[in-house]
Amino acid sequence: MMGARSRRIWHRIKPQTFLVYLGALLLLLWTLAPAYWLLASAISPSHELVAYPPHWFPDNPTLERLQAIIGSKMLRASSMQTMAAPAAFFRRAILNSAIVASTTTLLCLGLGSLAGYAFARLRFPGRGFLLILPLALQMLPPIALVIPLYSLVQALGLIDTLAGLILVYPSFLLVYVVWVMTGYFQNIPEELEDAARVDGCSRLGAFFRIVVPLSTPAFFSTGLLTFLLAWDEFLYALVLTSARAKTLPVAVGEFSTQFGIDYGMMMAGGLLASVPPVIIALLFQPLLVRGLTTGSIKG
Amino acid sequence: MRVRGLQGSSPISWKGRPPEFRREARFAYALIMPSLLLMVGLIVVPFFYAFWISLHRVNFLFPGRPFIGLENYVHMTTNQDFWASVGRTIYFTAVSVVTQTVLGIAIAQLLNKPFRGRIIVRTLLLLPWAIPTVVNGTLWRWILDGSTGALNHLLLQLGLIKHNVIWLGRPFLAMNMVILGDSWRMLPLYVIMFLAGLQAIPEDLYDAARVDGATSWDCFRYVTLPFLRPVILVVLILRTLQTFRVFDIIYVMTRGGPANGTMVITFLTYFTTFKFQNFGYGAALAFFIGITTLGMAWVYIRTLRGREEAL
Amino acid sequence: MSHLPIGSDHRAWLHTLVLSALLLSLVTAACAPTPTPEPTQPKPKTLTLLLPVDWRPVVDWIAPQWKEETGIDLEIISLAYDEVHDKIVSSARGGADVDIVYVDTIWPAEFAKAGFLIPVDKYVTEEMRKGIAKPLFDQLVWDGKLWAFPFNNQSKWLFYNKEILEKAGYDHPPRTWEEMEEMSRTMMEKGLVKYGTAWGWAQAEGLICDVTLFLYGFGGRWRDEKGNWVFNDEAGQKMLQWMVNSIGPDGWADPASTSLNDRTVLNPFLVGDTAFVLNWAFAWGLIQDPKESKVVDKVGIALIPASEESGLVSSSVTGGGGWGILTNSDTPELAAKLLQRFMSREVQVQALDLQQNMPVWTEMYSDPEILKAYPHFKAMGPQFQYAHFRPVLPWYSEWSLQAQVEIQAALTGAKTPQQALDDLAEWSTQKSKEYGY
Repeated sequence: MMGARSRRIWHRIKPQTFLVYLGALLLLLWTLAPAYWLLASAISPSHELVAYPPHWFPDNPTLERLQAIIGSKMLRASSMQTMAAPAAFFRRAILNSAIVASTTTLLCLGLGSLAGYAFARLRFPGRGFLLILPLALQMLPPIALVIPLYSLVQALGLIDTLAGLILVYPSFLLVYVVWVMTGYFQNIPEELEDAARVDGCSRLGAFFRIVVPLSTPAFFSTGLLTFLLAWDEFLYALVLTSARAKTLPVAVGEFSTQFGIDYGMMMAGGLLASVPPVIIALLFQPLLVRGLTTGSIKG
Repeated sequence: MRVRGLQGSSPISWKGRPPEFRREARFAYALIMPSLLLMVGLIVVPFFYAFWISLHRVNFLFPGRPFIGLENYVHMTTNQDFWASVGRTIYFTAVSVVTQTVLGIAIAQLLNKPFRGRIIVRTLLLLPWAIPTVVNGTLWRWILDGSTGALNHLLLQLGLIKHNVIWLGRPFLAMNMVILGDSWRMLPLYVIMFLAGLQAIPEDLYDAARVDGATSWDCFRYVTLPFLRPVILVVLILRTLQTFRVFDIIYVMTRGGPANGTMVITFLTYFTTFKFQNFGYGAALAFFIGITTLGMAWVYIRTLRGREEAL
Repeated sequence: MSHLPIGSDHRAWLHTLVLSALLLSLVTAACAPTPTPEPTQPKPKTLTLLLPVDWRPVVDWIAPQWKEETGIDLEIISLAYDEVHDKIVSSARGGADVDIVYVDTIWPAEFAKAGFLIPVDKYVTEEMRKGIAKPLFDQLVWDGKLWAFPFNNQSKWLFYNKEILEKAGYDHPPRTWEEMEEMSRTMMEKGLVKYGTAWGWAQAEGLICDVTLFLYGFGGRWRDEKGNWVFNDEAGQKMLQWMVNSIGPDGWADPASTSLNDRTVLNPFLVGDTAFVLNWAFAWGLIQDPKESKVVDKVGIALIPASEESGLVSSSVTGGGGWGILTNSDTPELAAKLLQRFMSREVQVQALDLQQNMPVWTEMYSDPEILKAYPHFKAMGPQFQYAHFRPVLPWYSEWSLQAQVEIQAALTGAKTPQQALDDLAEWSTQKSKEYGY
């Protein structure tokens, strides 16, 4: 009976369905294979990395590199030492990235939601202009601004400090927050606020007591996206930091010396730098998707 | 992005307004002020400062810092390297955006069909986008390594090639490989946007079309595409703007090489400034990039506005 | 949150202010891990050094002793080699608080011309003048002044796999390029290697290093005594044609060479896929590390060949560097004192132990104790006298990039060797006229 039934199912599978599954399989391969190689390279011993025929699955996986980075210790093998030296500073970079990305996010959410509220609720001269102009401005690429911003940060004495980065990062994040929050606030019925104001709340009071709690999902999804974008930033970090405030994207590149690159260490560092954003992306995927599609301002 | 008030409604003016209106406006400015100050301080002022620098000769080989007017711009527009890098930037942008859009629509179509495990595929889809750009570039540089990279090893093992291909060793090939690496990370973004667009199409439209005997292609051509058009437009312009500024992945994968094959305009600016210490000329290049971006941003905003009015 | 009906503008301003202050305090809190010195206390004396990570272990080793002796902290900013030049530029121009920088052999002219460095002639002791070979100083001289203390004696060598050569029936390393080609072809035919060698010819400074040693090895040179660019003569063309042929369809070197650098060329060599490799001193550490290498104790070091026609014994390229003092420094005397310490024999021994750094003191190459620990020195020593400089120019970075592009155009077949060299020569001549160097 089972045989007949499965045959019947087999007959019922249309070629189109088959194509869909084939497509999904290819898509999965395309998505996962490079990511898998990042992981495998990080834990393969050096000689297995370059071996042919390739060791797609390392025979003797090693956590040595990851330990070197997380434990901030130097690998003692004579020749690995130069390559491993930055490992000692990688942990600091992880901390820096976390601080910079989260503080920038909070800063942008705070300032951006205030402005967003004004744009969503209040009528004032110049509203359209003030809403649109920054939209154009924030499209200016970092390379067009980095030299003057270097002078600015230098003048403030903030070169190679986390504060310097936190000051500069809103330049490409703030407008996004303002726009998404404006859109979100507009969809909250004004009557709710009116009711609170009748009860004696100030405008700002109503904002904090009514609008902000209702907007928690928007804050969260916008915040996640802002965090990821700040985590990813490279050029400003490259130019504005040198040692103490170095962030992860810059630190990943440091596993290279005058004479070349240690791909194993780079992959190990890259793996660690990818873990937080990947976890966020997979855990909060629906939220992020909503943030990305409603706010198609910055990718 | 749906923000009301984008459409060119008649400007609000101060005249003949009651005091409550003034109070509301002042309150609004107070709320906006911190953000506005940051934007002005971090973008407007630096942008014009870059322009100011670009009117001077700031080059360590020559003493002083004389005002030279538009000489840097004359040098730029008559310089072959500059136009070559503009051409490369256009190539990179066009090929990336078009392939990614086409593939993005195709994948979105696929993921819009019901099949078992779709939720898993949709969730994992975002994975490449989450990997930081710099890590992505390093990863692809490693995969594409000419002698011990995974791609060569795989193709050798499958018997598809007999000798290593030097993916990043030839100018044109290297450019396309950078596009490949960029696409891996950016495709999910397109898919997400298009998927959102597809999900907004009412299912009964397809049913009606099928009743009328439409083929799948007809459905795509006469139902899907027209509905998707505004999304496609926004995605195209937006991604053009973002791709035009490509820097990080070039810095990590090729540093402009080989034989300047991937020397796009942003990277030329970086080299001119920090490698050659020609700050005046570098600022001119930066200003050119800025003005071009603003032009494109203007087109983008016009499009958004048009869309708002249509809604 | 107040329940009073506060709609007044002042209150709104206040709220915004408070919120901003709150966020700003967050920013400041975030800076806590980067402690700034208390303004009330006298600033503790520190010296800040900016260097490629390559030198970090050595400086890390000195720092505690130096602190104990002088009470002065060393702050070390270490970067990927590729970023050091750009960071020195931004630090020096921005007036950053950096005292000492590592100066690669190709940078002194640029940094001196830009006014980044102070001359260090007066800090060089008589002992150094006598004990260190003159070429090591010469590569850091520009405009008649010395801009850095020579620290790193670097040159390229020919490393060869003795075992493979023996199997192929050779009992000696090649003496000319032609002989190396012939050996390689034999070994490839016998299936002993994939390729004779892999060159590090990616678009990077390493390419110019190799072109320099090839150019001189074929009897050519970059510029004549009057400073004219003459590398596109017959010798230069032969040289580049030979380079192109080696990785061509009928070549004997890895065609992937145009995407390899000095580190990645070692990968095939370390697993025995190639029999020869041109490389710097650091390669020895990797070759002898059983974790990285399958060719431990099977490798010999020889003089880099020259072309048969040139009749030269050998030709190599210098690649060292030294330590310079930024004009930014408030305490140049103190910085110089530290650098004199760097030059000491004791530190040179450490650098050798930690980094395979070739010492600058001539006597160390004949010291029995060092030779016992580093027997390969005997083979390495003779190469230095055949090492050439890359062009000495304040605008070297710009020149080097153009040269890389033109040479790669020839290597990838986009231009004929002659066309590439002529184009580069014409461009160089025109730029030299424009810049005056």
